[in-house]
Amino acid sequence: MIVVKNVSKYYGNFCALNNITLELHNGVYGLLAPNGAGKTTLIKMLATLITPSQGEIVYDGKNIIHMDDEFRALLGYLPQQFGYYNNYSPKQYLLYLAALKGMGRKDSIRIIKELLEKVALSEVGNKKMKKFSGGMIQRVGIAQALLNNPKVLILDEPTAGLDPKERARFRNLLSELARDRLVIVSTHIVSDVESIANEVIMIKHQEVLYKDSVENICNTLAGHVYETTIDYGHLDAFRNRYTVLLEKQESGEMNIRFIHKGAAAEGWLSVTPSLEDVFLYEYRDEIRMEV
Amino acid sequence: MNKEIFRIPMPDKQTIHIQTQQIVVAASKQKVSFISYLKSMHQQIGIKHLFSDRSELIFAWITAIILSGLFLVKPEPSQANVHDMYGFIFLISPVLFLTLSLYTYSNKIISGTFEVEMTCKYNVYQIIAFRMLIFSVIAIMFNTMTLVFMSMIYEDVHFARAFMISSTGLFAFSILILFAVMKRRSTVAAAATIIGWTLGNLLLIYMDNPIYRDILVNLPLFVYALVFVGTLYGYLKSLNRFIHFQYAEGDY
Repeated sequence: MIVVKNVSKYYGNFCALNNITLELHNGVYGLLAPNGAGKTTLIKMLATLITPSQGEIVYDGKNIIHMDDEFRALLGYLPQQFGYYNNYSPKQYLLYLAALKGMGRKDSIRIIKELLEKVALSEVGNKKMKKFSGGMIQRVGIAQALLNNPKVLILDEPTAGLDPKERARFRNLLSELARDRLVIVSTHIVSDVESIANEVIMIKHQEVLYKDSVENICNTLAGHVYETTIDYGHLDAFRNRYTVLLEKQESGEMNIRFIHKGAAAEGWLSVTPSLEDVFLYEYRDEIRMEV
Repeated sequence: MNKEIFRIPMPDKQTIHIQTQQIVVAASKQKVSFISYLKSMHQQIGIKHLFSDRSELIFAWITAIILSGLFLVKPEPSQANVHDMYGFIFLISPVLFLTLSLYTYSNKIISGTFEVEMTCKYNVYQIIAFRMLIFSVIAIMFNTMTLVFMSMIYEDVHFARAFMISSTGLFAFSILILFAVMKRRSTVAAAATIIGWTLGNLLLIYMDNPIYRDILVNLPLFVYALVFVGTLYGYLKSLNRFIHFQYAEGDY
């Protein structure tokens, strides 16, 4: 079990994370927030790449920084930008990383073979990685994170560059892995975690906004999400009045999904909120700024 | 109702001290010695994986060839000043070692493998410390071979003195660069150390200072031996500290 105790991170006067407290058990945790919200800072602290300015992170009661290599031996980590040596094949690179993880050569060869099959790279295991697509590199990254059969698996934007089929395979792999370990997936893509996460952690304004099951988080908007159809000409006025989540043009009219925390008008259809609705609603300001 | 009163005798100071020590030892992580840490790294990682990329090996060979070339284009034996030779040996002895170590580090940064390797059981700093030790042995062997040739070509160059100067130079420089990396935590500090070392030594050679010349040529060998042992000890201590060095984001 990992406990994040009152952790803050400052870069000079800038506060990247403020007083974060979390308790994480075995299972999949989806760390969900827009870019720049502090996801990667938290992930890097959990991976011991950076140290908290205040507070501490403990694994089974021991501070992970003090545990040093003992904690790293339990850790599998995929960074946001997974780097590799151009002239290496996946097998060579994974063998090299297995050595750094303190694994024996015989075991490494067997495990690498199994992992390359799991990420569907068996056929290109001996090819140089410089010829690989982004998705293939990402799959090598996923394989290396699993090399030492980690008790704590931390994946930062793991589905970047993967096609829909690969994403689905990855989600199944994660569900299988999470039975006996702690998996933390940082992403800004809601569908990556919606179906597999036991709990979702949302960060807003450098603090934890939600840490709960998908169902409970969705329930925070229960009874406030509606769908309706309006004329295209009324769109701007509608946008100014309500928080619009989705717009779809259909037969010259606009199908709108939106949030309203008051009495429903005629013609509005109340719908079940999804995690994406909560995400779009909670981060509406950040998303508007990005647009 | 009769109350039974338990009396617990207060242990004496020595017992308290011994038992406190036992509790601390049982609770704290066993500190592995530097030698056994290196031994386990050697067993688990091996020499092969010290070079993460084939380009590193090629680079190492090119550096060694260039350095050999530098020694070959030295002046004719009749025109050579022995103190200049010793000064040159002191200046150039860490170059092979330096290029081998720096290339590894920059290669990891450029390839973007730094973060992944930092989260492995043996992280980048531990691997670099291990490599530095191996490379310093390689550098000493290379320097020794070169010095044998030099002492054969130049009569005034004494092998024992040249060896002491060369090895002292190598270890003194290594201590400085490790200090710059760990204390100053910046690439600028590391670069400043390299430039400072080169310019400082060049200045001393070309200023032809009599004290500097005297130290190089006339200082008794046993004093050199003492300095050599001192720098070797300092180097191993610095490497041990480097193994437990804590990375902080934004350092490099």
